[in-house]
Amino acid sequence: MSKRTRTITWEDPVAAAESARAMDGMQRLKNYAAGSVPASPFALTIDTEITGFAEGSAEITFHPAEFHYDITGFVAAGVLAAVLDSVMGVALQSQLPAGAGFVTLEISVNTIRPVSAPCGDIKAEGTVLHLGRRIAYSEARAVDGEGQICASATSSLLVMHP
Amino acid sequence: MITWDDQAPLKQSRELTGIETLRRVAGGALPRPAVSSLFGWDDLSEFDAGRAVASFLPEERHYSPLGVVHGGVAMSLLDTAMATAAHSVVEASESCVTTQLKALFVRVITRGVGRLRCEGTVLHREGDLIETKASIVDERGKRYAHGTGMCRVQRA
Repeated sequence: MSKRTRTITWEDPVAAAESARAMDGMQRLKNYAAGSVPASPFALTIDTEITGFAEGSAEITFHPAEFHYDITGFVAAGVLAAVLDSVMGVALQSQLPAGAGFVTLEISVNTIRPVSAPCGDIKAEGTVLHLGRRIAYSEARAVDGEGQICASATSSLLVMHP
Repeated sequence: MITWDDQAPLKQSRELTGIETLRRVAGGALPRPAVSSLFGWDDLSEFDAGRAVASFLPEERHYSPLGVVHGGVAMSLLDTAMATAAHSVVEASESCVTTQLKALFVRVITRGVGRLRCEGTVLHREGDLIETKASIVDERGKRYAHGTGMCRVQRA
């Protein structure tokens, strides 16, 4: 069987999270775009990047590849779910004050069309539907280069204020 | 560094029953799914018809920008256990694709929690739909996440 390898390098995520605590979410995203806040190990592991953000919305670009495949020979549904979870988190982050954190409480994902390397880049768009004091609600979709929907999701997230 | 094998032979294994495919992957005659290497799963060492277990040790590569394990890692582990369990009940010339995944995250996962185990089981098969569930627990039985899934059976 022919072997493939891939090397991933990242920066200390706990130190990065600590030093970003003083920034509000939008500033943190701007600094990420400018290269002064590092990408997370998980984003580098699954090969995604934040390619757009505004108040309450975000876009992540995902590059489907063989290393994401499960036993069916397509990108694992869990990986697509992870991309959608990420983009909903980034959309929420854009609205959070300095020192606030969040975790996903619950997520529901529909995988609509199988994704594999020939699909090319997948764009995931996330939107915050409602941001309450403790709970936020968001939705997301993943679309291929031809504009066809591949997956969609909704989630609720717990916001932790300092 | 992540290492995996050419995944093409998995797609060509459709004449096998699902459980025979899993046995051949476990025995090394078919490639291990690449996503298992990507996340560092230990899977396919424990499965039978309608049930599959996947486990992993949380590492820094699983971390989100918030300094804890990304929820997507837990979702992917739930998906692997549920999709493998579903795969174990499909007949020869059938394959199954996940169409829906739902997850609840009960506790934050960090590198400190030790090895996490996820057991996926088939709840039932109705025609072309296979319904599954899975939970992620630590070695003391404390629960971190649970989920349900739906897979659709396709015929070659």
